[in-house]
Parts: sequence; structure tokens; C-alpha cells
Amino acid sequence: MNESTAPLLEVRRLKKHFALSSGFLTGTQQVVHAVDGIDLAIRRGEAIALVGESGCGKSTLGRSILGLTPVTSGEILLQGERIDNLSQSAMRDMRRRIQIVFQDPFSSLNPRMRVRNIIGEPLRNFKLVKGRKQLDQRVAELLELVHLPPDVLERFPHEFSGGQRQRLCIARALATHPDLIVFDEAVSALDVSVKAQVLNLLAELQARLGLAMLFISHDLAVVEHLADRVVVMYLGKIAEIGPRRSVFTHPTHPYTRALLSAVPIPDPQIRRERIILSGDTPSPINPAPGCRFKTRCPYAFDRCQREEPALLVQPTGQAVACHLVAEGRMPAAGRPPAEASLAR
Amino acid sequence: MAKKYIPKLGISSTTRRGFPTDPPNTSSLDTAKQSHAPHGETPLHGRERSFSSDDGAAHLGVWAKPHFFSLSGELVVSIRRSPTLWLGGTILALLAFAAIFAPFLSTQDPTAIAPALRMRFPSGTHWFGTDSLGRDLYSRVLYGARVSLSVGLVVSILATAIGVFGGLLSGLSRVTDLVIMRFVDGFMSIPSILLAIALVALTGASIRNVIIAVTIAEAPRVVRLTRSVVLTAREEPYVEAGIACGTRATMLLWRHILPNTIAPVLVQATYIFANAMITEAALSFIGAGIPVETPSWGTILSEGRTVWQLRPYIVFIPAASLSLAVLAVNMIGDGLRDSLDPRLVRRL
Amino acid sequence: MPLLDVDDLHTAFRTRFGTVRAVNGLSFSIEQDETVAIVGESGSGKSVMALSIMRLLRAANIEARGQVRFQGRNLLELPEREMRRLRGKDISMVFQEPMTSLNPVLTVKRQINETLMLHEGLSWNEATDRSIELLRIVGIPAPERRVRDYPHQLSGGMRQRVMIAIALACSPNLLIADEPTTALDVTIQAQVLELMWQLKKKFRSAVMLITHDLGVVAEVADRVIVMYAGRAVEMADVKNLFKNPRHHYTGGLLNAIPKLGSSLTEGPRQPLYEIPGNVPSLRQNIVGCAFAPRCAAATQVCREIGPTMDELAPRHFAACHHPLDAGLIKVRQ
Repeated sequence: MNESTAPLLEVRRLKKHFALSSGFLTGTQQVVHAVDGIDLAIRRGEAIALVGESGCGKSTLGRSILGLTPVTSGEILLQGERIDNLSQSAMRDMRRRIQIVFQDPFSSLNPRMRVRNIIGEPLRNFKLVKGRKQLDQRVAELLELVHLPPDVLERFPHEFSGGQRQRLCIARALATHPDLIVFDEAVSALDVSVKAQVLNLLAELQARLGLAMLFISHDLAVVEHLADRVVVMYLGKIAEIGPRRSVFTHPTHPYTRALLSAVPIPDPQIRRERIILSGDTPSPINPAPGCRFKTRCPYAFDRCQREEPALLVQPTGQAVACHLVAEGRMPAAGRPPAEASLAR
Repeated sequence: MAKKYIPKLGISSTTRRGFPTDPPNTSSLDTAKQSHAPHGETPLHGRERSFSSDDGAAHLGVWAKPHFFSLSGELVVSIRRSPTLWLGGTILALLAFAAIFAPFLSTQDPTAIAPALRMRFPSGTHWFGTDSLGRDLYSRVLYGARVSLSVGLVVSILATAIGVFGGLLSGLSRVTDLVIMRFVDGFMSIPSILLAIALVALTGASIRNVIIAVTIAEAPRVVRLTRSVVLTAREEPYVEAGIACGTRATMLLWRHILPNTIAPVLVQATYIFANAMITEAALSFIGAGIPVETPSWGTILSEGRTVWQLRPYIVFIPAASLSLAVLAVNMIGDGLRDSLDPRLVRRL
Repeated sequence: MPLLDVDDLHTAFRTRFGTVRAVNGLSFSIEQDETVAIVGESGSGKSVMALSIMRLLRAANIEARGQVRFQGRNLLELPEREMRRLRGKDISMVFQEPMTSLNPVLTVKRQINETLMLHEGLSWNEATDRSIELLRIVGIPAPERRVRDYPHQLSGGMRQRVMIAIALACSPNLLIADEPTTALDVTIQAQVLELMWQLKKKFRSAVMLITHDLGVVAEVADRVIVMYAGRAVEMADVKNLFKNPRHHYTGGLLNAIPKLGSSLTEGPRQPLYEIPGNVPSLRQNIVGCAFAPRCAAATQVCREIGPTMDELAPRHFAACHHPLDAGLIKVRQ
């Protein structure tokens, strides 16, 4: 593998477990398997989307990559070097290259700090600027990048709207010229019209700066718009992973299909048969053996109860973890609304 | 076209009492998964280039969202707002004036004993009369103000400084927390007056030792308070954002966490001020505080104890002065607390 | 007679910074058995409107004017005692956040029983039986056990179902649902929407669904009212609204949503349509059309004279001086 195709970030067999109780009194230890064996590779300039619902571990995965949560086992490599076992100071250096934008634009900015200091914080931390004038200049450049007027250095976060605050967060993330930015539900808290603006900005930044993005979201329409590759997660494991078009045109895993069909379509003319999953997402505490999706899967059979399915690459281009698919017995389906009724 | 609006520092402020502070679920904010920002956007393209901060500052403005300016801005604003603060501040200022200019305002030497003039009623020469040793009560009360106010001030400053430092350390890691909190628990289990008496008994009666004793008795409360603020502030997303952009722990404390502690600690400091004055007076009253030569409200009270049925004013005047001082400081504390209350300071 | 007839509702908050006009001259009506979706972004006044109707906004500085006629009676003039009788029985509300809308220290049973005992006069045991029945209707498995649970023992979707059960307990004539599925996962949202669709038929309530999600609107609503800056800007049957939006804001919203299926098109990705500008500050007295500063087709008339709600087609109203042509979905970029 030469330099240009070597992955920028690699995640190998990553597991993150949270112990809820020591099991001293109750017998069995309660362990939340938030992330349970994930392999992932992100190339330079690539936009990867992590999709899933609450409890699937996508946020935990994003934070583990950032080093905000220590991993239980597995490895994270940035350009070939391990970053999951670094000392505090080495990890701080690593933070120059991987940044994050959080979900809530209201609480991720210190309300008592001015814009200059908020965006200047990473610049100061890594001594990227010397003196006030350079700082102001660089901050103005960053503001320009995110389409904010450059003369707002003196202002406080509350003087901005939600979408503008999110741009401030993006500007802060861009300050150190990172290789990868993790967007943890970064547009979920924004209004429809504002979402469009920020999404366009992200696409522009990706094109302009060659930024790699890990976009965590539960909103499939947004993901389809922005991502190059899509990773569908369920209860800490990858259900399906592949190029955007493959996953959206030929969703193969039953969960992916259900997820896609559950998204309400803003067009009342389209009446499609929806796959309504029964029951709630099971708890990630001490998961049972076998496929994680078996409690809600319309196709579950005996093999699903015993064995965990492995990710296998399909002819359509994506990798799917499903026994039915592995055995070639998954009924073919196009994208909704052309889909035949699958509801039980 | 949207107007360009540049807000002036200090105009906006925290909410006033009576305004709804806990909004019902009016907008779809505050949800765990999806909340919605109340505002639109200013794009670079399109006709609108002007930046209207008017919208940012809550066109929903419904719950008069408090504005986090710099600390000094907030203080200035809160001072303007609260009548309690004004009143308390004025009284305290008057007392401080009396204390500072005691040498000029007093009519006699407060320590001059004149047995021939003892137990006189208030008159032209002795405005508050004389005590059982013939000393002028008015002058003694003025000088007593010095003692009380200075003890109160120094104790509150020291206790706050120590307490904040201890609280920050405590919030830093579980280990430091464990150690420091055990000390705090220990000190707080002893009533502050008893603690002060014991310490003064050990070290001797002087104004310095009284200050030290009362500080030690009061600091643990501040440690607890700071610690709880630190523990909540630590969980704020912007602290995590700070970690994510490479900020060191000490910088995090200084820049992100410490500013959150200032408001509640400041309020607590005023209460410590009041408490310290009372403790000092109590100590002096029982003879375990300031040496008898220095006039202090407590000592005056103590001396008047035996003759108060004959000359009740010897007891009432210092008591009233102490009460007034404590009241003034408490009012300042209340006023500050109302203005700076963090509960009012939540996002929309 | 329409079930609910809102006539020129104004709700204003007097604050230190001026008067915030959250609802600014809103008029619409809801018929029996109809599901009307109120669509708007943050700052449109939709939630405040719902709370004004329910008279849940109580503070000295809140002022609600106008007429809100429910079954002929003006709710804004009713004494509080009368209003209490209506709430939960004739009009009930489902809130967005099931986590905070349910009392965390009371069991589910207690919370549903409260409504039943208050409005229908049932005894505790009768109410419990009915509660279990309601839980079954809203699709909670093993309701006899679940009824004794506390809210924190239930998942988000189940909590929302409990809220729906409480709201429907007394078979209200009007159910107001304020963003009921926004906080839920997509698959759970599908379940809850399916449930609401079925219950709507079963209980024959009119539903006022407040949302920002046009997908949900398309799934569930019969009629749609689009709000902007405290006013209604467009009202139409759901099919007509999506096919022929007449107001520029509606058109902009429809274009701005990323839609599933964008990966099917060949070629480079198209940027999403952005509505330029900001939502106006509700503190200012807006002259003319509220959307004019952001509208590509705005003229002097729009800035000076507020547009009235005109019927541009049968049952299709828009408040615009220069409405979009019928059949034209794409707004000029």
C-alpha cells in the first residue's frame, strides 16, 4: 500500500465496555457492551457516516477515536501509529490532527468566552500563533472559512444563532488543520433551513480542504446527502458497511432495510409498505449470544440464536453481517417505494 | 434589511424575580436527541451580509435570557438591579466610613479611663454616655467597628481563597477529593465557635489569632461549595470541547471552571463576613477573643453585661451596631445571590 | 361548526427587552376527526400557540388576546375552573419530552389513574383496569406488569406511548401533540406514528400535530398549516401543499430538506437549497410580510403591506402578495 491509499485512520477490533456494577452482590457483573468489536478504515478526504439509533455505540466510537473515552480493547491507528495507548501529553499532540464538533451548539461553547478566545483556544494550546495580532488574523481567516463575518471577535456565544454557533464550533475544529474531524450529530439540533446551510458548508469544506470526516448521525437523509461510505451500527456491532450508493440502493441487512423504510418521506403521494419493527431496542447490557438483531428481525432463524454473523462482502459492494445473506437466502429488494411488502 | 445591532456591555441583564424562570416546554429545545436552535442563519451569499446579533440574543427572548458577559459586566449589572444590594451596600459603606475615620469622628480617646466620669448618661460630651470605667462609649463603639469589620473582611477573603483553592484541588481527581473532603468533614463536625475557642486557647488571644481561628472554621464550607460547582462544571460540554482541542488541565480549571465558581463563592463570602463578625464578637464576649484593651463590640457587650439593668444602652448600642453590620452584609449577599443565581442562568 | 376555531390569536411576552410577540395574528380552524399538522421551525410560535390554547401559560407578563373557540366557547375567557375541566377530558396534550413530562416519582398506574379519576369519576380499581386496557391499546406488552413501573424503567418509546395513553384516557375531542416523536429513534418513531394513525381512527379525535418534520406531516396529516414568525403563511390539504406550495417559505422548506433517494442520481452532489437570511426577531414590530427580507420575490408592496390569507385554490390559502405559480415546485435558487 503506498502513501496515498493507506488509510488515515484505522480502527481494529475496537471494544468499549462500561461496567455498571462489580457483580459483588448481584452475582453477574453488569457490563454495557457499547462498542463490541468494530473494524473501520477512513481514508484521507473521505466522508464516512456512522448511522444507527440510540444505544448502537456510534457516539462512543466517535469519542474513543478522539481519546475522550479510554478503550477496553482493540487498537486505533492514525497513519499507522497507535493512538489509543498514549500518555496524556502525547494524546494532546494527537489532538491537533483529530478534532470534534459536538451536537449541542449551545453548551459546547463556553458562554463566558469571547469568540476570539474560543477559536483561539486550540491555536494557543499548540502555539500556532504568536501574539494578539496573529491570533486575530488567524481567527478572522477561520471565520471566513465558515462564512461568518470576520468582525465578530469580541462577541459572546449567546449573541449568535444556533446555526452560527455550530459554525463557530466548526471554525474551532478547523483551527489546527486537522486531518480528520468527527461530527457527533452536529446538525441534529438545527432547524431545517439551517441544517441545509451547514451541510452545504461541510461539503464545501471537504472539497476545499481535503478533510476526512466521520459523520455520526441518526438522520439517513442527511447521511445520504453527505457521505461517501456508510456504516450502519446496531448494538455495538456493524450491521452493514459500504459505499453510499450500494447501501442506499441495495440495502441488504434487515435492519438497514427497516431503518430506511422507517424514515418518513416528505411526499404524501408515496404510500409504501413499511417495515415496522416490533419491540424496543434491547439493552446493550450483557448481550445474549448470537446475532444482536435477532429479537426484532423478521427473518431470524435458529442459526441467528447461536452464532454471531460475520461481515461478508456482497456483490453489490457492501459488507453485511447476516446469516441469511451469507446463505444467499435474503429476498431481493429494491429501495422503497418499489419494495414488496415485508411487514410480518 | 436587517439592522446592524451592536449590543452595549451592561445593558442586558439577568432575570428579575417574577419573570417565569422555568419555561414550560414551549420550544423543542432541551431534548436529549434532537433539539432545535431558535434561529436562522446569515449566509455569505445572498443579499444579507450584515450580521444581526439582535436575533441571536433570543428573539424568543421570552424568558429574558441572562447574558453571560465578562464577570465584571455581570457584577455591574447586578449591582444596578437589586434594591437589597443598594441598601445593604449603603449601610455597610456608612459603617466602613465610621470605622476608617474613627480617629477623626471620635470625641475622646476610647481607652482613656476616667473613673470620675463613670456610668454617665448620654450628654453633650459623651454622646452615648460612659461605661463602668468612665470611657466614652461612642468612641469605643466607633473603634469597635474597626475590629469587627476588619476581622470580617480578612476572614472572608482568606477563607474564600483557601476554600476555592481546596475546592479546585478536590474537584481535580478522586484521590485529592477523598483526602481533602475528609479534612473538611473533620473540621465541619466541630461547631465553629468551639473550634475558634480551642484554637485561640492554643495560640493566645490576639486579633491575628482570632482571624486565623475563624478562617479555619469557615473555610471548609467554601471548599464544599467550590467542589460541588467544579464537579458540575466538569461535565459541561464546553469543558469536554476544551479537552478535545488540547487544553491542559490547569488551563481548563482556570479558563473554564473557575469562572463558574465566582458567583456562588462571592455570595458565600458575604455570609462568611457576617458569620465572622458574630464569631469574633462572641469570642470577645466570653473573653477568648480580642484582648480587653482593644475596644471591640464583643468586649463592650461583655463589660456592659453586669450593669445593663442600670445602663441598658451600654449593651444595646454595640449589639445594635453588630446587628446592623450583619444585616447590611447579609443584604448584600442576598442581593448578589438573586442577581447571579445560576438557576436563572440556563439556556432557553 | 368547527371543533376548534382560532381567531386572530396574539400571544405576547412583556420582557425587559421589549414585547416579544410569539404569536402574531393567527387564525385557523380544525374540524372534527381531522388531523391538522402545524409546521414551523423554532421561533415560529407553534408551541406557544398550543400552550396558549390550553391556557398553560400563566405569568403576569404573558398576554393572550383573540378568540379561541372550542365547541363554540371562547377558551381565553373561561374561568380557570372550567378550563381545568376541559383539560385532559375534552382537549388533551402530548408533549415532546416523555422523560420530563412524566412524573418520575409516580408509577404509570398512578399517573393514568389521576386523569380517569378526576374526569370520569372512576374509583381507583376501576381506573386501574381502564389503565391496563389503555396500555394494551397503545401497544405496551404485558400491561398488567408495566402499569406498576416507574417512568425510568421504561424506554423512550414506551414512555411516549404512556403519554399518549394518558392523553387518550378520556377520549378527548381534540388531541394536541407537540413534537411527539422528535425525541425518539426513527424506528420507534415509525411505531408511534403507526399507533397514532390507528388510534386516530379508533378514538375519533381531531389531532393537532405540531412538528417541524415534513416527512411526519406527509405520513399523518390531512391538512397542513405552515407558520412563520407567529403567523400562518399557508394552509392547505396535505397533498396540495406538497405538490403546489404557494408561499415562498413553504417552497424553500421543501427544497431545503435532504431527501432519501439523492444517491440515485448520477453526477456530482447538488448543494441543498438554502433559505437566505434569519428568522426575524419577534421583539420588533414587523411591518409588511414577515418573510420579505428573505424572499427572492419580495417587492416594495411586500415590505409595506402585510399580506392577507387568500384562498388561491379550493381549500388552499396563502398569505403572499406574489404567490408561487401552481405546479412550480422548484423555487429560484
